[in-house]
Amino acid sequence: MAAHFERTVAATDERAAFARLADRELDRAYRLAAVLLGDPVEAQDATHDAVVAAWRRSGSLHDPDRFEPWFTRILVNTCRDRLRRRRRHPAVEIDLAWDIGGARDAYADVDDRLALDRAFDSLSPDHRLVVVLRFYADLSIDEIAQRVGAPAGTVKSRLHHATRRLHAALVGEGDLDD
Amino acid sequence: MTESEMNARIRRWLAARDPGEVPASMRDALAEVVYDQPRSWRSGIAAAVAIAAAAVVVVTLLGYQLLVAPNVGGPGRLLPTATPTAAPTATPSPTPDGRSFDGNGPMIPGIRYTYGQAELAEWRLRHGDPPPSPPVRGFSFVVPTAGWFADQWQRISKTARPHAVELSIADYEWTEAGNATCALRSLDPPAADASSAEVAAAISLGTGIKDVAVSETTVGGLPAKVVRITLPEAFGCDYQDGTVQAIWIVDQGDRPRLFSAGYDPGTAPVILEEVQQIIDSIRFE
Repeated sequence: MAAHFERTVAATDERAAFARLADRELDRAYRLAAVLLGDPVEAQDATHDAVVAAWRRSGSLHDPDRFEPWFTRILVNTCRDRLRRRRRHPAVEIDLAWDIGGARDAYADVDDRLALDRAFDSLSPDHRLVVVLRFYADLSIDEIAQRVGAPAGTVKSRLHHATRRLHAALVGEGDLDD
Repeated sequence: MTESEMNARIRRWLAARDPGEVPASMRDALAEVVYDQPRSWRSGIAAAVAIAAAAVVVVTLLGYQLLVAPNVGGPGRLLPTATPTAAPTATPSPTPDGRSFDGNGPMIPGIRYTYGQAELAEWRLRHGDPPPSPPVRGFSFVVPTAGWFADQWQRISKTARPHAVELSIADYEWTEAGNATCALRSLDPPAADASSAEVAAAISLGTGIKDVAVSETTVGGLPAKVVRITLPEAFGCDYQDGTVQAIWIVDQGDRPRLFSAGYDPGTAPVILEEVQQIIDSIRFE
């Protein structure tokens, strides 16, 4: 029903249709960009760039039902471009405002954050993408492959490599329970 | 710590990076992008989008099928034409009206834009990268008509709805070109001293690339190759299935210089002709 309605609107008002589709994705896109880039302000810029690019090319999107994976791909490419051009200088942040009662958990979280921030920053943009799409966006391998434009086997390989690096960071700086 | 425990920590760490709800200003900006209403957020780019949208060329689609045969209409031409298209200006050097290309907003037709060491250094500084080394060879170019818009990624584009064409005008190194030229993203960079022939061969062998055509041409009087390819949707470009990319690889003595254009199949020939005119207008220092 919703899909039929979107197509009807698109036939009569292209702008309204695009605006509706983009608005529906805006929250998710911005939050995905922020997690990927680690900077909410830059995420706003990246999301804006993706919206502009998507609007320019929206005429070539023939199936509104495919808007989300299509727009996510544009956003992913925009973020990847930014990551490739960005010189990262990892900053170590220590959150001192923790609850005494939960001190042990809070310390572990801070410890994790420092270790994972460093490990994540050392990953290539392509590896960061698959980590975020898998562990934050909860996408399947095939869904990730569709959005990053790589075969499923390549996605699996990148995910395996990236996950090993992150796991190594956790084991290196956290408790060993095994 | 088990693997699933570690994965759970990774999920928790990523969730902590989530800023939550999108700022209200972003929703307003979405309306601005789509409805061309002047506003404040990212006003420079938003205003440029509005101007670019107002300058859209109304083109009747001719049902023209872009030919990739390299020798039709003259070798190395983006489009088959009966006679070679003359460059829009015969002036070989920057004119008094020339200006520096800073990748910011609508471009003025007929003005010669320069892009060289100073511009690239400034752009790299803005993005936190060191200046290019060795120094790059500058060049200049002209856009023939209104409606061309420059973005911060050294690309210029023109929209003729429902299609759009993007031209990466300032790709200096393979890695830079890989960012802006979809076809190159998945390829390993060739050696720094690779010839245009070697770069063309590397592009041609990219997995999934179809309809490869390589031809000889010149850019700014220098020998070059132009590679035209068709990309499947699975390649991950922002365009739909069948995106066409034309990549000019110029032999300039040290490392090849790349310019690339991407467009949807069916993009009006008049727009593609403008891309060729821009390439034809290039003059190297």
